[in-house]
Amino acid sequence: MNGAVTHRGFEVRRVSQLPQRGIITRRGRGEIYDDGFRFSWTNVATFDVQAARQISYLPRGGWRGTMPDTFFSTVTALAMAGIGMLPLHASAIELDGRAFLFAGKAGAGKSTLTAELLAKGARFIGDDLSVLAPPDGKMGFRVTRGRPLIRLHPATAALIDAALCEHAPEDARGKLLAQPRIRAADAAYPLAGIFLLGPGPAEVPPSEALRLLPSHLFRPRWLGAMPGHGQRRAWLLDLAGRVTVRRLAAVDGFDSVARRLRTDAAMAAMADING
Amino acid sequence: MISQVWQRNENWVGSQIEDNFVMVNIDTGKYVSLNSSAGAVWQALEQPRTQAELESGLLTDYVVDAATCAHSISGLLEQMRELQLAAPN
Repeated sequence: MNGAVTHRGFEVRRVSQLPQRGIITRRGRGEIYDDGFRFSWTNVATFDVQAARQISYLPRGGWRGTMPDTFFSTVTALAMAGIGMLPLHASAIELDGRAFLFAGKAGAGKSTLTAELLAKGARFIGDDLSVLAPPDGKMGFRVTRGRPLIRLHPATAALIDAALCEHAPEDARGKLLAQPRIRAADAAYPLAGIFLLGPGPAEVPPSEALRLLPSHLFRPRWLGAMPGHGQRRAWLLDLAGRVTVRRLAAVDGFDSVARRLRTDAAMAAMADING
Repeated sequence: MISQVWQRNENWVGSQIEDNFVMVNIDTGKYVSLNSSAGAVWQALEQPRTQAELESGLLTDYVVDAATCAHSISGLLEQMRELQLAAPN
């Protein structure tokens, strides 16, 4: 067995075999237990997560020597859910000490908008996955880093100053994986607002937010089957009631005018929310 | 029985969403939405109370006659029992 490393408070360890565990239910490529889950990523690796903050991974035939992207998205999201955090399918930036989330279906332009906001002075928290710490005492929801790399078309990647920029494995669209240098510190930031990318009026009243937010959980079908989902739904209710939710247009990534208008609208809305 | 003491099921948490008080059961994930009067009864049940005490409180806050109030509270408490929001102890 190799030495362990630490990821988001979990001890991550390579193993040569995985133990039998008592299954609650099966989901797609994995199994859910009362104290964790097991997730297989194609023929690359199987990840076994225990709520006691341990992740074991068993490399398969397609293992390339590095963690696949799914470790930093699906595995991290579900592991964090298992320790009482709320993972959302959203990108996150920090502006003036507060966090804003950008949620939307695949292709809505979350990453593109995030990159354009970084070029306007925002600081990067995470792409595609955001992990929320639930309210605690007088503190409301706080946003912590989700996926630390951002996946972008080459033209958009050129907008940002990146420490790392390489072709994203497993991406047939030719996107690049970039690590922006303009990053927020590795901390938890108070959540100021959520923007939903899609058609409809800019204002999203709380009742509509409550209806829409569950679909923006990260891997909602998995989370729905994992223990603690009632509590997650309670947090979504709390989110809808206390956090400003607005809508921004989903735009064609190649329509530069529409992209610029949306970026300007996002900056104006964030300034409005931040007061 | 009007003298029964009713108390909340503490598995529910709620938030004001526009005109309704929306609640979710943290064990089951089930949502319910309470209108104004049901929300008032829920708030009153922060401390265990009898139906008579609930009626007395609502009669001071709402313009309603005693018979109508008693009928409404009886129906509401029965609904709360069915939804497992509250029960007599």
